[in-house]
Amino acid sequence: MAGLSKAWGSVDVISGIDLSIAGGEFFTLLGPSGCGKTTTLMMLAGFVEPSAGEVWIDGRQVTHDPPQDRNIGVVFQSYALFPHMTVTENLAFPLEMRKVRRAEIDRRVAEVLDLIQLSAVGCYYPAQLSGGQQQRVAVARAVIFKPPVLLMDEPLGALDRKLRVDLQIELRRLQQRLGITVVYVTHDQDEAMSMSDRIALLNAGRLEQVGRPTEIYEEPASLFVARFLGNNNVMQGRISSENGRLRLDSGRLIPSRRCQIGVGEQVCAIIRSERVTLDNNGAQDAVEGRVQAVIFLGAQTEYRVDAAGLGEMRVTVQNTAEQRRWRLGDEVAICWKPDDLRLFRKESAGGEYQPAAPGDQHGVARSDQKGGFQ
Amino acid sequence: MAEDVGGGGACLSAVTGYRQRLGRHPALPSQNDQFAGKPHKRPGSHSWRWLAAPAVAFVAVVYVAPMLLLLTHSVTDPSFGLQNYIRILTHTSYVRIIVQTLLISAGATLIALIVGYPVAYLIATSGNAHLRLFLLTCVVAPYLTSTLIRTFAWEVILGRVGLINNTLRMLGFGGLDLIFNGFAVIVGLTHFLLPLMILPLVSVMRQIDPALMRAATSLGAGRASAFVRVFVPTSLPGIEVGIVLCFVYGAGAFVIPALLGGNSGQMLGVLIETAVDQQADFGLASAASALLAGAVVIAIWFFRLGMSGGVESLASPTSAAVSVSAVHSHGRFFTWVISGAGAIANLVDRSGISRRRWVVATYGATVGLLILLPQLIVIPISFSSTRALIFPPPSWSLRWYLGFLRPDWMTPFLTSLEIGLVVAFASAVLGTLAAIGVVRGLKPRTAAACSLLLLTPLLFPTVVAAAAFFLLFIRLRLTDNVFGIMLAHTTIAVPFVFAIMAANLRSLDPRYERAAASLGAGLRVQLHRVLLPLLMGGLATSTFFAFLASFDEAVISIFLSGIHVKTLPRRMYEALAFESDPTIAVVAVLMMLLAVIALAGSFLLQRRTGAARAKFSQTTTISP
Repeated sequence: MAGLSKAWGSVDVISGIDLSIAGGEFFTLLGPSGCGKTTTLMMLAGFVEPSAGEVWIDGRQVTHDPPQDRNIGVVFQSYALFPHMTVTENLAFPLEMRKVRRAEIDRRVAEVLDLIQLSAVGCYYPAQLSGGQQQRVAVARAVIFKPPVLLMDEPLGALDRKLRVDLQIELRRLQQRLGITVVYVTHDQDEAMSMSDRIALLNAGRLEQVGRPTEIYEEPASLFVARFLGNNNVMQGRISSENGRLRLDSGRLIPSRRCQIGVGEQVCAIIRSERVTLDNNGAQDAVEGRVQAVIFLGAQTEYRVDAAGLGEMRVTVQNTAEQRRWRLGDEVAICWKPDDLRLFRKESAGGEYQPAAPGDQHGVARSDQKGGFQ
Repeated sequence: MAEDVGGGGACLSAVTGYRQRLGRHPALPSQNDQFAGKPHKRPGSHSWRWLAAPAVAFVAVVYVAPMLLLLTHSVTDPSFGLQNYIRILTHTSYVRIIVQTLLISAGATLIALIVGYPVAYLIATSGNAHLRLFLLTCVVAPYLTSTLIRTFAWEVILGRVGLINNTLRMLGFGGLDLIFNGFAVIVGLTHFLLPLMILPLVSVMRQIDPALMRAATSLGAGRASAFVRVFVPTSLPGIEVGIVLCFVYGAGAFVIPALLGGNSGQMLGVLIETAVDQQADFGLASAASALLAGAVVIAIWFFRLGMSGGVESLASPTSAAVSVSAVHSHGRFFTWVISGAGAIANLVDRSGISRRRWVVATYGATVGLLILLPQLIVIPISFSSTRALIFPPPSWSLRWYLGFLRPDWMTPFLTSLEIGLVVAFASAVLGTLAAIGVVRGLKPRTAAACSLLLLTPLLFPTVVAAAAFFLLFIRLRLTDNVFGIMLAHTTIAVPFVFAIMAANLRSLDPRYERAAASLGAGLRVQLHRVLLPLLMGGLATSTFFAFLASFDEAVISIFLSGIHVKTLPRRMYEALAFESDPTIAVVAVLMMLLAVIALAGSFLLQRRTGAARAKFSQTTTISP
């Protein structure tokens, strides 16, 4: 079982990261560019020294161990396959470093090539392989010596979409088959959500939220998390004195979900575009609007609607056969379930939003909290 | 100076060709892919190719023709036949000189490689910006002083009453015979070759993906093992270029063996010069030159087999199509060396030395100082009161500075100045036009051939060219003549300007010209208002280097000077060879001062105009 936790880090880039990752888990560090996820990974690998804090692997502290002693596999964004060695030699390298016998090396190389379905390319040089093939060789090289942990730094970034999706599935399958713990870094939320057991969302060097994909998507702990994932509609307003309603800054009154925010407090309300419907069906609190843009996305269509008092609302609709299609300029009635709203209290001047509804609490790791997460 | 800076210019531009050879990940967009040196087919591009014609014609006529003449001379003087060659190859003393030349050159190259490789590694990969800058300054600074000055510095250091011997005597030991023999030549030559070896290495190393080393350590290799097994093989193209440049220069060395070699440290270059200047044995001189040129060509050819792209990759930064197999066929010898070194590296790792990073940094700094300091010794010498090259000087005086102001020295100084300015101007024009023509107007094959031709004067030993010039010019009565020297110097300076401007052009987005064209600008306007302003920085740098190349150039000047026309380097050479006279130190100090002022000026100018493309940009080690 490989579990690890780390805390703190080089002050300017990362602060106060506490994470505990279970053995055999596919754990993703997600966040926008520059948020420190790669730096965190580098600290895990041993290429960067943390300014403070510790790294533990399998119950052993490795914070100051150099990378060659940590027995971790790393897949780099550029793959870093040794250009002057063949695929076979690349794969054999870590085993040679561990003084494995020649016969055993040959056997394991063949075994791993079979695993990634590239048995035929052993004698080729990396430059002769396609991007997808190189990626698989890079992964194979990182797991051939059976490390307990595998770190991957945006390994699929350089590939086209179709290949990327295929490889995501393959990587996940490989991980489950080998039972290896993977720490994966990406800025692509779709990739993160489709592959991971748990995701840690980072922003400017801090942890925003850690949890399963469904958790962080459905119950975001902060405004940043809510806005980073999915396609959002954001509305600002105050809790109105009237029963469970929200008075928006524009003056409009909309139904809101029950929450613990006091009357008169400033909030930010978010609803995902797929939870908004354009059909009225006689709902009471529907808002009128006019279709301003129709964006065809293949499986779905996104409509941008100028709704009275709400501003521009985005509505995503599945393109099923029975589904009605709207056109530019159509008059529509927008509505949603109040329970689908996510409310965030506006904190003092910083504008850092806190989750406001019951059940929205998921341990957000802030610098003053320590947590162990399952 | 021509012969020393020459290699630098060629290698700096040449190794950019290796950019594509280093297993750059094909799927990752490299910033320069968009500007990759394919001339873009657009209407009118064909007319730009004629811009290269004047320079090509010039080099062909003024440089190549005399070389061919030299070759024919070797079989026709005094009568038709191969007697000259037979004479050289059978006479034991000549054979000894040939063998010694090759051995000294190879030895100095090897030492320069071993000593300089870690320094290059530090410059290219160290995280410490101060260290990088310091080392780079140490390595580049010698280019600003001429070979004569550096050789003079070694005379002071190695001399019988020089730095080393006096220190030994102070400590109670006897003196050592360090000068006027093969040892002094190797020392002087190695010191000279170090920058020539380090700069191409740095250029190539900078392009190595830092993730490779990380991957190696993450897979379990210690730092030393990772270095030997991953980094060194990937830097092989740089090693090859460095070896070729150094060996070629070493084989053709003249000034260093002439001044430091005495009777036992002779090399071919000295033989050629003696044959021309003192014995008027032109047949022997031309045969020896031809042999030297032949050895150089063979050396390049030999390395060509190991390099992809052939000689073009040495000369032409537009890299030709790279055959994948060539990148990796390292040959058994190299693999054997690597595995041997790998075993040693293993031991180093186990002992824990490699964990202490300061070991390599200290080593690098020491070598850097060793490269930089010798020529600085001329500064105190210039204030010495005695004529003998005693270090430390017994007392101080300004007599040599005053002596410099006499016509004895001032006339050559002004002659050199005059020649230098004309050469700088002429080569700037020819070289820039050629660069534009070749980079923007020609197809890759022709471009490579033209580049090769234009860069030949840098690749070939200057002493051969000097002999060739002499043989031709003496018939045209261009020896002992300012114009003759100007012609000869221009052939040396044009490749400089060409290499620098071509490199600048290659990294200049062709879309600026396209944008201008789409807005209605004709070719001439594009040149005037788009290209030239953007190239101003490069133009200034290359003109400066062209001036330096001519001003400091010693070998050709020695051959072509006479009673009436004498350049400053020639005067210095006479002073060094026939008298021991610290006035040379004065010249050295003044020239260094001049170079420093010019550099500082250009640096400030770059800052001001904001045109400073980060020349020594750091590769980030952490991606955000």
